[in-house]
Amino acid sequence: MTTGVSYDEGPPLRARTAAAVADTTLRANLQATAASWTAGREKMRDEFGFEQMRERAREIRLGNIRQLPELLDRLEERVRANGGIVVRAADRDAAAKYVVDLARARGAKLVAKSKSMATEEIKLNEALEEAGVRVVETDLGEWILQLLGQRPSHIIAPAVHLNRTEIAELFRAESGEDIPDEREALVAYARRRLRQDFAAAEIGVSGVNLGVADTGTLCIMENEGNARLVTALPRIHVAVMGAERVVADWDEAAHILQVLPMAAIGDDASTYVNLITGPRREGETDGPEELHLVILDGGRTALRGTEFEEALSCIRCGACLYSCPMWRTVCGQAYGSPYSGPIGAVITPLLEGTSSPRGSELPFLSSLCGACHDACPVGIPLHDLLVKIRGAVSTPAHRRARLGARVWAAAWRRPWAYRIGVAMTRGGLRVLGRSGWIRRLPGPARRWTSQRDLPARWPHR
Amino acid sequence: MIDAFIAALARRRATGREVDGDACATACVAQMTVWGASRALVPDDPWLAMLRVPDAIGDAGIEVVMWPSDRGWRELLGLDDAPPTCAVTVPLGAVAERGTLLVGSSPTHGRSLDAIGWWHLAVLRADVISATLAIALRTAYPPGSTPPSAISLVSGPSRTSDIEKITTYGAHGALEEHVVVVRSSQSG
Repeated sequence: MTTGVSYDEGPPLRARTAAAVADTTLRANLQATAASWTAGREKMRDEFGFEQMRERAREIRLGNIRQLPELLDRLEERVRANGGIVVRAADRDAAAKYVVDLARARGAKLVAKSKSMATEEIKLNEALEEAGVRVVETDLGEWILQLLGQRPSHIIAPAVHLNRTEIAELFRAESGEDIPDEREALVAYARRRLRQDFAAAEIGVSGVNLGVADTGTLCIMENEGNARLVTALPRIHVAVMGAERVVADWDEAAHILQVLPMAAIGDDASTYVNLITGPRREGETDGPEELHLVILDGGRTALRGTEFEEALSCIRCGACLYSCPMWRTVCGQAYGSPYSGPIGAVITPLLEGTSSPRGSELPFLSSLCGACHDACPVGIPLHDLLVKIRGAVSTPAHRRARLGARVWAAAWRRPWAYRIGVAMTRGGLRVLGRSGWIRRLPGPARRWTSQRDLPARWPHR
Repeated sequence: MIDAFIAALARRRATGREVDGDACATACVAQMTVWGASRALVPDDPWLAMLRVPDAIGDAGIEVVMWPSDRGWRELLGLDDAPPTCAVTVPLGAVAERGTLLVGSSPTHGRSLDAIGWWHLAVLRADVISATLAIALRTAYPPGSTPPSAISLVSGPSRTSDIEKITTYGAHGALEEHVVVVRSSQSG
């Protein structure tokens, strides 16, 4: 059995982050993106009282997580009563297998998808393609990445690391048409091209932002309109929902539906919120004939009652990514997990375990500055969770590092040991810095001097 | 409330105007003419018929396709050189604070209606406008009742920020949105 998020194969984290830091185009793209988010966020704070809304959002989500089993049962019962089919998937393999088996059973050749992190997590595209089913991502950013064979760099803005010149080159290669480097022309091309797939797909796959337990309604938020077409035109709609994404009633839903776009894009509403309460009814000529809700656990419910429970409050707005100096430097793809940034560094190890290479590395990809906590619309103390998860990482390298830190701490608590340590260090640096500069240090300090020289005396003479 | 709603529409890069019932059809045709629409996809709604909206559109030389329609998705989506369509909706509610429409599904009103058109023209009863989203949703989902199979909250034209985080309009849904608000005394 596999639980938790999927991992990309590839070079180790240090190599990925080093490559990202060296990419000046990427840095410029990220700076522009983060500046745009910051401006939007300030507007929400000044015009809409975002800080007060944040408090209420936190209360709602903590309450939802406390009542999660009851809310999920109620949601399941209501969705079934509305004519939908509900499947509880314990892990990502079970979730992907259900959708693949369904596609096979219905003879589907084409699946149109709207943006969904849960389907990234279960590697649904790969599973469907292995089964011979063509998958088309219809969110513009996701489609761009699919054409490039890349993974998303942000939860809600997946292609934010690319600029329009790079995208225009891609579209020209894909279409053979002379498409100018203008955003309007690029969007118009994608609109025209993807309408072919909306018309032909037998199955539409979406994620779920919120499930409303009281009425069994699935809320799917978007700005482009592709999620509406994906959920309304194909004969079958499969919605894949993380098990924690449930609220009790419409008052709670109304609040979260407003807070989420404020945090995510600095706007008080997303263009479309699709509220789906079952498949098409008698006499209706659009909407799916079959609605399948796949509720993915993948290690989520095991977090309830632990010190990490608050991570389940996340509403996947991506605000913590934009606020994070690490994410703004290396971008999402360097994390090697579908979930990047502070929330990715928290939930990847929580869902996957801390023994895998990336599960043990990601909690350390943070300066613990706390900007993510300030940005989070539901007030998750991400920096505290990161510290706690670091304590749970127990690879041989981390055990060695912790032992070293304990020795260091013990020495500095004793004046005689401290004085001996300082004298030895001073003597060693004098030898190494005969030329006036220390260019290379031994042991763990080697990495520090690989890119810096240290003056042997300070102030430098 | 109507003024607040129309002001909020402007923030969403949509437009709106308030009219009496007898001026509704003219206002609809005028907006379609501004957009240059040659085809309209219109729900088979008795209130719209009473306001003579489908008749006026047809009289203006714009082809009227009634929903439900047996035209295939390719044609309705504007593929194969089909003319781009102006979709007409009759929202079941609206939110003054946010400029949001609540567009519900029914046999005569498809859940995809406003998103498959090039342009979205909503004909809104003034008395269904609520102050806040919470009130509008409470009204749309009263306890013990069966809500529509789908309700779409629509806040302006389709947009994307996936290229350089700069908003660009007309992604997959309507490129433009206009709301004709019909005063309550004429709401039928």
